[in-house]
Amino acid sequence: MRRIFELIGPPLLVLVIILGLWSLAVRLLGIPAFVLPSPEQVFETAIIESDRLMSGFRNTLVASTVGLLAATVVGVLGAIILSTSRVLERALYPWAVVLQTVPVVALAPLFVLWVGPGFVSVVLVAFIIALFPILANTLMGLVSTDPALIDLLRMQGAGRAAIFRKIRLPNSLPYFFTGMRISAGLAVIGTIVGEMVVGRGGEKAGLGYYVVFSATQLKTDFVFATIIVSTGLGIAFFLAMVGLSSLVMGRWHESELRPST
Amino acid sequence: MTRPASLMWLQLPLLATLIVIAACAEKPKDDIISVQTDWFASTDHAALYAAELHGYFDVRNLHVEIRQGGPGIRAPNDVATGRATFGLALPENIILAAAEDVELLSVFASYQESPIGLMVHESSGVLNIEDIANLTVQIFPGQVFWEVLKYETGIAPAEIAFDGSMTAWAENSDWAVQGFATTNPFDARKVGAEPRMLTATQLGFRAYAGVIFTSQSYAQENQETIQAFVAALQQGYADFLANPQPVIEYINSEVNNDFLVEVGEAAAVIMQDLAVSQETESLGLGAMNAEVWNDVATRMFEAGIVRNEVGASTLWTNEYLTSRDEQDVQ
Amino acid sequence: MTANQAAHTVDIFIYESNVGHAIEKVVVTDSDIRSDRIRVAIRDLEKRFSKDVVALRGINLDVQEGEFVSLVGPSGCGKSTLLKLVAELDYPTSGNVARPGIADLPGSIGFVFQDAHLLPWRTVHRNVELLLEIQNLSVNERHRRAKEALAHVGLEGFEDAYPRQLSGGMKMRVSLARTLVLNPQLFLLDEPFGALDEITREKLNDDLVELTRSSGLTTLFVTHSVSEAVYLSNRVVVISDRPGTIVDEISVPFNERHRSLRNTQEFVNTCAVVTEMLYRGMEK
Ligand SMILES: Nc1ncnc2c1ncn2[C@@H]1O[C@H](COP(=O)(O)OP(=O)(O)OP(=O)(O)O)[C@@H](O)[C@H]1O
Ligand SMILES: [Mg+2]
Repeated sequence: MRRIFELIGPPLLVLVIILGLWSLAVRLLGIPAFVLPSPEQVFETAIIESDRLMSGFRNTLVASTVGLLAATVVGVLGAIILSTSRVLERALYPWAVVLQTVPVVALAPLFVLWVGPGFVSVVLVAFIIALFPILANTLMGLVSTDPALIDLLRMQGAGRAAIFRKIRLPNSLPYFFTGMRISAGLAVIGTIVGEMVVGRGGEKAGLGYYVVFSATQLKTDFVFATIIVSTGLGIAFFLAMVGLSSLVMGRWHESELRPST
Repeated sequence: MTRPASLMWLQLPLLATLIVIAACAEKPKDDIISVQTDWFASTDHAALYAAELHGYFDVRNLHVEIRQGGPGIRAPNDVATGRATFGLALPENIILAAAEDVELLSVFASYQESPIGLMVHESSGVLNIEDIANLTVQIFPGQVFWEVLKYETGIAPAEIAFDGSMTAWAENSDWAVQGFATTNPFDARKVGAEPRMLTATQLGFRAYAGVIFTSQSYAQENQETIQAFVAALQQGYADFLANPQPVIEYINSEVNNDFLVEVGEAAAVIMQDLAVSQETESLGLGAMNAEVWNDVATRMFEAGIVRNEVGASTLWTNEYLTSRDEQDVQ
Repeated sequence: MTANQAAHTVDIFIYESNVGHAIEKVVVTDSDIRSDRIRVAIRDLEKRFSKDVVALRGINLDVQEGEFVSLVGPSGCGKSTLLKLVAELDYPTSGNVARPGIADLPGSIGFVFQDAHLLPWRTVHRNVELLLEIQNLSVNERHRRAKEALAHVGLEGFEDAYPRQLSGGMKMRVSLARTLVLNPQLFLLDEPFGALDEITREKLNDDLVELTRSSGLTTLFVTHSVSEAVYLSNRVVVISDRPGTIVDEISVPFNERHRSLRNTQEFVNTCAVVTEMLYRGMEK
């Protein structure tokens, strides 16, 4: 209990101070609400719009999760395939890098054309944005094994499969989770961006849709409420990854859990 | 482990700071009248560009700077924060701003009937709002006319956010896409589609469009400037409607090369109908009336788009207009 | 050196100690080497990595059963390369390495590297089991042997610790245990204690002597340290600068290994002889 407080206490305190300053600044400087609503106003709007925010949260959560899962499966399988052969890696990895630099948002209209509007397109945006960190980090983990260990196992007659199972795969775990931590945030961002440009409206609308929706209607407080919920989702994803990695890797790699970006 | 999380919390205040900084920066110079439009230059802003081209601002000693809009540009915000003197937007936005305690004053309406609406495929046979219920509608999230119509008719078609591209719509005959009657049907024909344009008015929501507005505070202290500015707009717009070609070519060659002359020519034909009404006949181009304004405001409130009922009467005025008779006298 | 030359007497060297002590004659005699007990036979070995990089040239060396042979030489002279060739982790450009009497089976050669190279995700116990998992041993058998090997290197009670919880010396012990658990017939160590502090190193030297001598393990040991080589070995082989050739070798005349040995004049002199050989190898 005490540990939990030590963990979340300081950022919580910072949050309270910042909210206070924010509220004070809005009052004292007389900043109009449509430029910068006070935190109270944002909170009030969040309550009023809670139905839309909740369903937006749910929809974005689902799309982000599916996008991240797809990126995880494809990223890990891709990394395994690339790790099996230098030739494959040399031929394909540059394309993975290129894929990362493609402005995915600009591709979104094409996704609509190819796979239809809404969910699938949004997931595709999230998937592509989230893919690379997982692929690159996992690949790095699979190939950056200690050559001496590989020699050692070979000497005892171990085949590729055994070396993969006993050395490469476990060695890649911390790298994989580093990738996951980056990708978890990116999946949420990708989903929201996707929803902004090709997302579903109505019941299936995600948070990204409501960002545009509220901005179109000049409702700055609603925009803020949406951004806060989105940020909350991003943090939840990140923390889920931290939790998952310490669950899976347990005690052995605690030092590796420090985020590196 | 906690560090990135706590850093994320910093994003919001940071964003807020940026907004405040942005709001404080960029005040216009006193003698320059800046006008922020809602989109890239086109004939939808013809009154402004015609006045500029024909020197109607100059002869009135007005130093006008027209700024093109684009995605993410919201002219009411710019006028409210003082970054622009005038803005051009849909009247719905003036009402939305009023609901947020931003007091704007509309002084000129480019369109008596909004050209905004939905574009469907001719082959779909769709004629009215009820038919649209079965389509997939591609539209900017939060578009007021659409939210009102949905609320009033109870239809709930599949919707997706409009990305600005007509490509997907062109491929899907059971889709409707948001568009402007002035320009989008022409674009659609060019990519081989057979569009049918249903304007908001035809679908059951009549509103003005291309409304030019300023802030109430500016209006109180600059009556004469506004008078002169609106007169220049009326004069320019009348010239444009009578002879659109020079203005179209001016926009194309001097302001926005992407706006094709042929698109402008097609738009000008349609504008002949949309720009005039009984009001404009008697009161002059740009005129508005209370009935239309009040109707829009009431329906927006009823549909829950604004939370407080907004009295529309203070949001617009015809007082700066000059009727054709008066012009003749002058 | 060929098998029938095996029994020989090493020349008498005269060395002037740099501490200024009286010069003593050191007579080093070889233990009787018998050809049927040879376990590693290296003949005219050459290893070249590229046209310019010749790591080893003209290496001839025999190691007999139960013998502890150290290889010393300047950095980059090809010691690790030689060890890898013996382990068949790499192949010679010409010449050959034979390992008569060493079964051609997994587990018959044990290799220990400069650093511990443990798997951070495994406990100490599971690290020691690693190589046994490749062989088809029963879980119980694996467990028993790993426990035994850990006891051997003095790590009882640390079975469930993770490598990051161990000191450098302890990690090295785990690494030794991981290899010893195989019951190898030939033990190859490549500078295993290079990264350790003096005291830990000496302690591990004593342990290694105990481990190898008690089981009569045939051992090839690479080191930079002359005193370590002399302390541990029956025989020290000195390799020259690249391309690595054998400069000379010396049989170590001590029977007992004890800490105080390092302070004896004989020990110091033997070290001096080896150092002299090293200098010869670097001046060529
Ligand atoms: N795989 C390789 N490819 C090319 N050159 C190599 C390779 N391995 C070793 N060499 C070269 O062969 C020479 C001998 O290397 P080796 O590692 O055997 O030296 P060493 O005696 O073990 O040195 P140290 O005492 O520093 O460990 C060096 O010059 C090295 O650069
Ligand atoms: Mg070496």
